[in-house]
Amino acid sequence: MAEAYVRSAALAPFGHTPDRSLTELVHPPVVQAVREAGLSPGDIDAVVCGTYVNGPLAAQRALSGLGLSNRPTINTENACASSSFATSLAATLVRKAVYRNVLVLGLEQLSQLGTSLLPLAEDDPEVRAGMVMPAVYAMRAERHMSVYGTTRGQLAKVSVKSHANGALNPYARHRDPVTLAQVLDSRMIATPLTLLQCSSGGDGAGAAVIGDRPGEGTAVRIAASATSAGRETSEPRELARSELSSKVADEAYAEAGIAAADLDVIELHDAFTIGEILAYEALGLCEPGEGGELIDRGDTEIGGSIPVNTGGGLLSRGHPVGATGVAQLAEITWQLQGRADGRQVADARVGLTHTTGGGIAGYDHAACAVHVLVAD
Amino acid sequence: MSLNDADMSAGASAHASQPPGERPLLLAWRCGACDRTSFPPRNRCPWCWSEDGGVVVLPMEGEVHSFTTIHVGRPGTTVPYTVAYVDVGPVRLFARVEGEPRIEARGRIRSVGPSGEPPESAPLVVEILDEAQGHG
Repeated sequence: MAEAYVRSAALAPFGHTPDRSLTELVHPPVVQAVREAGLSPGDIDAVVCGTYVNGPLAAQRALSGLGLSNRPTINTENACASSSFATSLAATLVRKAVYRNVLVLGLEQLSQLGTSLLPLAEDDPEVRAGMVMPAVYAMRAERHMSVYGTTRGQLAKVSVKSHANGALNPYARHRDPVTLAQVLDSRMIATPLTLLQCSSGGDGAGAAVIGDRPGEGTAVRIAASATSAGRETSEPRELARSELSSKVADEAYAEAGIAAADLDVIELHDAFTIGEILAYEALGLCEPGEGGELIDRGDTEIGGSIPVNTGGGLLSRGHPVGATGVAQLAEITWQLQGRADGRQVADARVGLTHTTGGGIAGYDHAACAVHVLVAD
Repeated sequence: MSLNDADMSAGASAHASQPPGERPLLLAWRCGACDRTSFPPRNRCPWCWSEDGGVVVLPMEGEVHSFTTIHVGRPGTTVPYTVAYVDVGPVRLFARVEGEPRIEARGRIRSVGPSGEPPESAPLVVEILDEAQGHG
C-alpha cells in the first residue's frame, strides 16, 4: 500500500456564467493544479471526473486541447457527491499503487439548464407525486424543529455564517454578507426553508492532483476515504438524523484513527441550512439535537473551536453540483497548507470533507463521501 | 389477484388494487424469511431475495412523520402545495396533503387524486384527521 497525497488543488471561480465554455471553465484550474504539483501532462497517469448533468464524456470534452487524452479516464456520477466519489476513486487507485498521479476533476454548468431546480429522476414515484429537492430537506428541518426544538433562527444563522465566510473567499459565487433578517425574509421555497437557506447552482470547476508523493510545501495526506450509497428502505426512518452521514463518518474516523475532537477544520454538505445542522450531529461535533446550539454558540465560526465551511460552504460558494466535492477538498487542502488567505484557521492540521448526494424515493441520501486529510 | 414478474420493477404505481365497486387497497409484501415489509409489493423480498412471503394489506390511516409546503415547484406545477411522509403500519408513504398537517398528526390515505385518475397511477393523498391547533 502507498499513501495518497493531495499534491495540489485549484478552482475556477464559481458563478452563473452561461457564456463561459466548458474548456474556458475547466482549463485554468487543471493547468494550475498540474503545474503546482510540479508535474507536466505526461506525468498524469489517469483522470477521474465527476459531474451530474454535464456528460457524456465530460472529461474528454473538458480536457480537449490539454494533451491529457490517451490514458485511463473514468467519468463518474453520484449527484451532489460526484467529485468526492471521484476523489475517493483516485485516492484508492494511488494507495493500491495502480497509478502514481491521478488528476481529479469536478465540473458543472447548471446555467445551461435554464431552471433553478436540480433535475431529478423522472421515473421516481415521489418526483411524479411532486417531490422536489428542497422539500426533502425542508421535511428534515420541520422534523428537527419538532423533535429537538431547533429554531428558525438557528437554521438561518447557518446561512449568515456561510455568507460571512464566502465574502472572504475569492472563488465563492455569493460574496455579500447577509443578515439574519434577510435570510428569514427571503422568498419561501419549501417551509421552513427560505431562498437564502438553499444553495444555488451555477457553474464551477475544480482540479486536484492525487499522488503517491506530497507536493511542495506542507504534505497533505489522505488519511481516510469512506463512501457509501444510502440504505434503501420502504420502512419508516427518523428524518431528524442523517443515518448515512453518521455511518460514513464513523468509517472515516476509524480508518484515520481519529475522533471528531481531533478535527481542526471541516467542509461539510450545507446544500440547505438544515444540512449543516444534521451534519454537525452526524459527524459527532455535538450530541443529536444539539446542532442548533452549536451554531448559536459560534463554535463553528472561523475563530471558533471547530470551524465549519470556512470557504463559505455550498450556501455561499454556490453548488455547481459536480464541482462541489473538489471545492471542499481544495478548501481543506489550502487550510492545512496555510494558504487560506483572509479565512485561515490557526494551526489547522486535521481536516474533513463531507459530501452527500441526491434524493430518490426510499433513500435518506443516495450517496455520501467523507475524507480525512492530515498535514504531515 | 396475482403479481407477476413485471411487477418486480413496476414501482409505486402498482400500489393499489381496486376490486370493482370497492375502495382501493394499499398492498405491501411481507417476507416470510426476514419478516421485513416492502412497498410496493413484488413477489420477492428486496432485502433478502426470498420468494417466501405474501401480500399484506396496509392500514389506510397513519401518522405524519414530517411535511412541507412547497412554494417553488417544477415548471407547470401549481403552487403552493403540501406533501408529507406518512407512516402506515410498517411502511412509509409519500403523499400530497389535504388539510392542515402537523408532525404526528393522524391522516387517512386515499389513492385516487382529486382529478380522478385511476388508482394505479395517481399520487397518494393524505387527509389530515387531527386539525392543527393554531399556527405551527
